[in-house]
Amino acid sequence: MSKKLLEIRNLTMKFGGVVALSEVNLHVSEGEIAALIGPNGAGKTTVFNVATGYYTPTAGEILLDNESVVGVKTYKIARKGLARTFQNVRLFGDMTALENVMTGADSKNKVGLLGSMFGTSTSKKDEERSHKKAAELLNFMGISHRAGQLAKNLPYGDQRRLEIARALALEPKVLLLDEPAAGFNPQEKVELGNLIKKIRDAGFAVLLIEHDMSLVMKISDRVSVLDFGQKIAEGTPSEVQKDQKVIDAYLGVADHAS
Amino acid sequence: MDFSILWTDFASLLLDGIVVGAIYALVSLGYTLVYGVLRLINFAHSEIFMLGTFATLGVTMLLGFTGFEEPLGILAFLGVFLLAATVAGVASGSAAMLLEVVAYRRLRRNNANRLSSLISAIGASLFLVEFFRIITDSKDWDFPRLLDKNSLFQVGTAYVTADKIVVLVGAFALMIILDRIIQTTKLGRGIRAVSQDERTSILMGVDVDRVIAFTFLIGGVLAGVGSAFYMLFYEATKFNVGFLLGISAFTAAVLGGIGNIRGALAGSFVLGLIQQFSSAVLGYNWRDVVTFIILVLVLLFKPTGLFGEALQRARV
Repeated sequence: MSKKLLEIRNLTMKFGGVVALSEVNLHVSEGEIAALIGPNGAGKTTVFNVATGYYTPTAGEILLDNESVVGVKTYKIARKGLARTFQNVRLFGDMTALENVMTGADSKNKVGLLGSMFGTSTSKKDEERSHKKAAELLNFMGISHRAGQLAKNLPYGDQRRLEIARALALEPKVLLLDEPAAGFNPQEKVELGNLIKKIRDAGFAVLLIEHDMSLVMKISDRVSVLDFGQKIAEGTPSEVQKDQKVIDAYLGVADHAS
Repeated sequence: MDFSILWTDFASLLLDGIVVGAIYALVSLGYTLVYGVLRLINFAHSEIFMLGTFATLGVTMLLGFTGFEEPLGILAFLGVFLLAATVAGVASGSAAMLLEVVAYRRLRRNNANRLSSLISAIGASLFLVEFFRIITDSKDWDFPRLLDKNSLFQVGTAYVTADKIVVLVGAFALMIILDRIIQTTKLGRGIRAVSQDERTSILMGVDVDRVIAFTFLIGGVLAGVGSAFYMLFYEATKFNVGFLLGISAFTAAVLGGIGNIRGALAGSFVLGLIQQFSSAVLGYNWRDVVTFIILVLVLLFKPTGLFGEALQRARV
């Protein structure tokens, strides 16, 4: 069995009296695309927020490559290898596409913030590294031609691709994608699916939150289903699709099966 | 009121306006940079500048200048002035960083509301002013004349003197260096990222605490070096020198659109020129009245600053 890069054990998250997540177990293994699905408000994005350190869990453990990251500062978790995108695109709008990706790449550089001000050989080398890395990733995501444009002026689809490129610049062990297909037409969804597979094949494990079931079923290696903060099913796409609990909670409800 | 002076003295008013504007620019950058990353008007920034003037003066006193010696030759001057400006930059820069740790960081960590930080800023400002009032005996302190201020050459009615050249060359060099740092370094990208979306930058691995600390450092260093230029040009300081200069620099930042670096630079030169030309007509005593009127008018009618949308792209 391949190595678990992200492992979430008995995760509980309460906000005041509201239980957002209850005893959730999840993992993402090396080389796989895992999907997290569930009706709106099931707690999917909360999983991302807790895993990345934005919230401290009420109880439970989060292991990134076998190392606990509970209580570790958010920016350090990002540097250790957990990068994410957002349901609503959150780029640095007044920076160019290239600079957005470089900002992610900078985190992996040796030179400190202060050191970067002085033209030492380390800082020059690092600047080149960030630049090269960012250019490669824009190319990988098929948006090289946008490099010099301000992020806010990019078409919506390219903004989503840019966000993924920026997250990849952190060289994450696990990439968390929060509804990457939101707002895409069927053709764009197919392209996105291929892109996510390409990302996995390039060596990044992916955890995907997505509402588009055909996309999830087509590209995921494993699917976990959340409902009211609890995991109600897990398995291959075909297993999950047949699960009665899942059908009751989620797939059976016409509103959600987009 | 004699408006003809605007034409007869045009060149000299223009030159002085640009020189004064260059000094404002170095101070206004500190307001605008800190506002960018924290959405906070650092009211103690004017005192960071004041501290720099005394650091500059302190260096010349330690070197034994009393104010009665002959002006220095160009090389000796550059040596002394470079040392004084460096010390002032380091002193103001460290003070600004310390200020951030003492007066703002804890409030920020506890998610205190903006008003608390603003009150803390005013408190820190008062503390520094009063502290310097005591240790400097509330006196006016003169800065020795390091450089011959006789006109080197004349352009129209403008007498070009060595100190003005030093201020202009030095200030423009610093502006270019700052622009390079903001545009082409990891720290610059960090500052811009935090200015645009702090929460997202954290998730992209940016160490926001350090970015903020170094933003204060850069703002402080610029104010410190700016204070050395100020001393060279005005040749005097006092514990309350920061107040009016700070208001001018702040007005310049607001005029250009606070948070916008290039706006702050443009606002500084515009304000410097307005002050010079209006003082020529109304009298020098009216300078700060004009400044405050501009501040109020901008806040009332164009709170995004003169360059509003167009320059927003260049926003930090």
